Amino acid sequence: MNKALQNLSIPQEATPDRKAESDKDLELVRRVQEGDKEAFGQLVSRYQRKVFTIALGVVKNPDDAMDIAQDAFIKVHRYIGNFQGSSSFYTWLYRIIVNLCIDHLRRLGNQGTMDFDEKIGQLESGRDGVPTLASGAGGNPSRELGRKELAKHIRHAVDALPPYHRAVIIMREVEGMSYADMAKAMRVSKGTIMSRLHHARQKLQRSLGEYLDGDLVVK
Amino acid sequence: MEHVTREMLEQYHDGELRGRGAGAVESHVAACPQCKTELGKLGRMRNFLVLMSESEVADVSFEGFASRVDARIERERRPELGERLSVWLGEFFEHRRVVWIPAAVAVAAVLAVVLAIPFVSGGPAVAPLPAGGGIRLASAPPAAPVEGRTVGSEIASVSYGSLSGMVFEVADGRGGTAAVVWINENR
Ligand SMILES: [Zn+2]
Repeated sequence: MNKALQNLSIPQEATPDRKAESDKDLELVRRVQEGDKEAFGQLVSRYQRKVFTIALGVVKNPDDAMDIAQDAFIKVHRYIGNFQGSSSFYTWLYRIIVNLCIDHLRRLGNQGTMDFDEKIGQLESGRDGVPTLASGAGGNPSRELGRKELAKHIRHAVDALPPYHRAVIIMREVEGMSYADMAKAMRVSKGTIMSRLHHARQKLQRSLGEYLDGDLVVK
Repeated sequence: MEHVTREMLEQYHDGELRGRGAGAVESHVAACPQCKTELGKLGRMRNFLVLMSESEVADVSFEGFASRVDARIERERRPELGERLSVWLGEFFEHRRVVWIPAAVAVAAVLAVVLAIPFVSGGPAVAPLPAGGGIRLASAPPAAPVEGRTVGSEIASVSYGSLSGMVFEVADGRGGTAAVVWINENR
């Protein structure tokens, strides 16, 4: 059995060097504000992968996610003069990226038959159908899976979540953001973050069903 | 046995419970197989999401990403700045505020006028282009020597009568940028 998947939940606290990282960010931001192009390049290389990861988590399509990641840094460059440092740089950056993702989905939503907000409303209220991976051919999930195959199943389950729920679960579980930082990045209360996380997890738990029971073998 | 709430379990899993709250969850989970299972599911869900993300992002290359961002920033910035400076340069010629140096002094009969125009603070005044003036935006950096300075990209060029000029952006040595105007007399 894959050891990583067997682990019990270990609380994921803010890493001790996050403060140092945040200070380094602020130093780079200050230099960019003074017109230092190389400092901007450093900010881009520090965050390009994270920004792409969040965008991909929310918008699903890698090409769209890459475009959004670029747009995010263009915005950073354009508005960095307004950044005061009252929050950390990455919450400011993640706010930009989440807004861009939501705008993108809103545009896609408008092309469809249902209004985006209506869709979100339905999904938030839990009236959506939850896809269950376990309900495949014979009703029993395979107990052996390759990583790629498992990743596809998880993606399918994540895609069924409403966009805001996708954003919080990725920011929390993949990027390790705190409730407070996510609340700042999404401009909502901590309570809303906790509620979105809770609903996202409940749906994922239903979708992923028996895969979460612990006797899955990942090759 | 009273189970810990789902809310507390999630907060514990997220590292958002400190001190006594975290201790209470830990001692309960140690004694309660049911809550231990629930906590285990939260942990596996996290591992699944990390696995998904890693597998999707692993093959993505970020080579050239920063330069693509830079190129877009340049494209967005250049026309506006170029336009402002070209118009300003046209006005500059019209009022003949030009100091000449004999053609022999410099390779291309060029006079470099270093004007500390901070690009951020308003910039040069906007006036109508003089008749016969032409604007060309160019991107190739010039091979023009300016002592102690690194010449950056050309922003705009303007011609007016027998005069032509180019505007370059250069580092001003204090972490900012300044405009350098090169004026040629076309004989
Ligand atoms: Zn219990």
